[in-house]
Amino acid sequence: MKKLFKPTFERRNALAGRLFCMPFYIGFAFFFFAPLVQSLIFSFGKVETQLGGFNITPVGFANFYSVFRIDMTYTDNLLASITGILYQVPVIIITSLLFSIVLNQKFLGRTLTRAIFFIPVIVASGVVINVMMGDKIAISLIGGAVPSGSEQNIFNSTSLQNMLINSGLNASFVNYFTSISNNLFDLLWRTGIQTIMFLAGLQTISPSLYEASSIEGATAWENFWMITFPMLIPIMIVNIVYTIVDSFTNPANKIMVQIINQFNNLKYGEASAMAWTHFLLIAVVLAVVFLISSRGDREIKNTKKGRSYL
Amino acid sequence: MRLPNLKSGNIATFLFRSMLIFGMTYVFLFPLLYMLSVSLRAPATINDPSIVWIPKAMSLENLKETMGILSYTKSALLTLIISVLSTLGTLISCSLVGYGLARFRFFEKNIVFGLVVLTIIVPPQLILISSFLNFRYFDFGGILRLLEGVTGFGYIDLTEMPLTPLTFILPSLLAVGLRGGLFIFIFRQFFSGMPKDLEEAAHIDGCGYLKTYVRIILPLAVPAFITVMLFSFIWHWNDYFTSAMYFCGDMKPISVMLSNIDSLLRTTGNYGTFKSPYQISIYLASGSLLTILPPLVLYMFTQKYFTQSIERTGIVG
Repeated sequence: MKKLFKPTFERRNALAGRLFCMPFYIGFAFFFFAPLVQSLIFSFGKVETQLGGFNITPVGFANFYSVFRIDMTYTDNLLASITGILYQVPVIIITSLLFSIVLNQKFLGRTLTRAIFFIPVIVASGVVINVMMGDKIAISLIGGAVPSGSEQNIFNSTSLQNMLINSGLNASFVNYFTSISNNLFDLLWRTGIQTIMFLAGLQTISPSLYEASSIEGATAWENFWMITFPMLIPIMIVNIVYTIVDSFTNPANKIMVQIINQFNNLKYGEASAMAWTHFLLIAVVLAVVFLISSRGDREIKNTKKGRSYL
Repeated sequence: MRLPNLKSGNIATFLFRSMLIFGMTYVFLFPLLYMLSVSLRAPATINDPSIVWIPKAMSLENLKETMGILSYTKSALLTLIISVLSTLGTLISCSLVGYGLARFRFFEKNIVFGLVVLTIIVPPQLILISSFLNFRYFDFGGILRLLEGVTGFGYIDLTEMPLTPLTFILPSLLAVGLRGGLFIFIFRQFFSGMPKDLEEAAHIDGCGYLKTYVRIILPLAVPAFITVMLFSFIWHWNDYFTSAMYFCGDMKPISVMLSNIDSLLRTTGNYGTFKSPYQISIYLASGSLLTILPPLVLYMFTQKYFTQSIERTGIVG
């Protein structure tokens, strides 16, 4: 009889796991779930502000209808943000992996270089980058010509564009070329977080692994694919997820701009409907990512007895 | 004739690395150099077209004036308090949850992880209004309402000034603070990449779960903790979107002040005189510089732990 109530190892293990996760259980219920449900109710209703709160009249799917069938730009923007991540994610992940490997090497001035590569993390995540991007006069203060177009800022390669056009190249070709280079600038600015995360991941790889493999005669190339890359897979998954979420929820994303505009116009119903469909799309994309990564994980397990990462 | 110590591979690596670092340094330093160049100019020379990068007359006048406009000491102190306390809360709670998800097996584990991912991917706009209302009439999930007869108040207004930092600190203590889900995810991935052998050895020696976590896991995970600490501090420091909503009074975090610099210039008595667009641009650059300075200093001090941690951790892998 006594044996029945004695906690088994599994039960104790499960209890410990739940206790470790307890802060999240409470926090999720108080600060996340309740607001989330409320915004779902918003998306199915007509929200009117009045003195002392909101008044919600249910309207069914009317908000979703107006977002998809009446709003001309929403569907296009959704498609644009999906195709955007298809080229952004590989570029950002590969570049940041390259950066982190370089920063992990020993060379003169490494401390300073690391500090410089950290600048995007500080600048690009805050209001500073918006301030700098929005500042039309800035370019002229450091000797550039005052740009005539409205979309110029100090991050754009106006001088390069002018130079190429002046040298007699076809203007449409130059515009295409500089739009890529402008994008590249933006993409490089978004590698900061991923680089630091990879760097921290590289730091947790034991040097003894490399020692052992070089005794066995492995080349640097083999070391990378046999040790560094597999050990970085857990961090790479975080980075991919972060990059996707960041590119979707970046305040510069056109859909985010649309949602914020709707909020500012006090159209909470439409804004919530937009935000919810957008969010469901992110969820689908991430589900695909998780599916692919867990399948790859299973293959590693079958062949090499690898650890489970997801 | 061959040079003894220089292999062609080494030279190629050196050249590639130098070019990469040189190019990226330019890309990343450009706005910083711009801010420095502009904010150190003497106010009298702002319209001098012959100055390109290096000011002819150095002066701290711009920075001083901008500090006045932003009420820099006050707002920076407020931001510092919020950032430090929330970061502490995030480190404690998110690492615990990440460890729980990485190492233990229980029935709803995958559901909980799914919810963590949910908190990452939900756009902040989606829950902003409802969160604000939640904090405006905060009642600890109904507990305060139940006790209303005893205490005399049914809710606390967390958006009123001395309490407003709690809108960041409370959620971060419960692992759902600013990007809390992402930090849980980072910790989980780090912990699941670690070998289980040490913990198993500790359990066999009779070490409890929490003690194992504090004594064995914490020292091993220093890079993860440093990473999360830096990100959390900087994201709290830079947070503009949520802060602009919650801080309605005079005291505002530095990023909100910076984004309002236009209207501050118009309303502040001393600065109410007409400012040329060039002058405003200079205030913006000085304000940006002042805003990113503290996180930059923090990184300078902590980045050496990125290199030290591996020597300290001993066996990993």
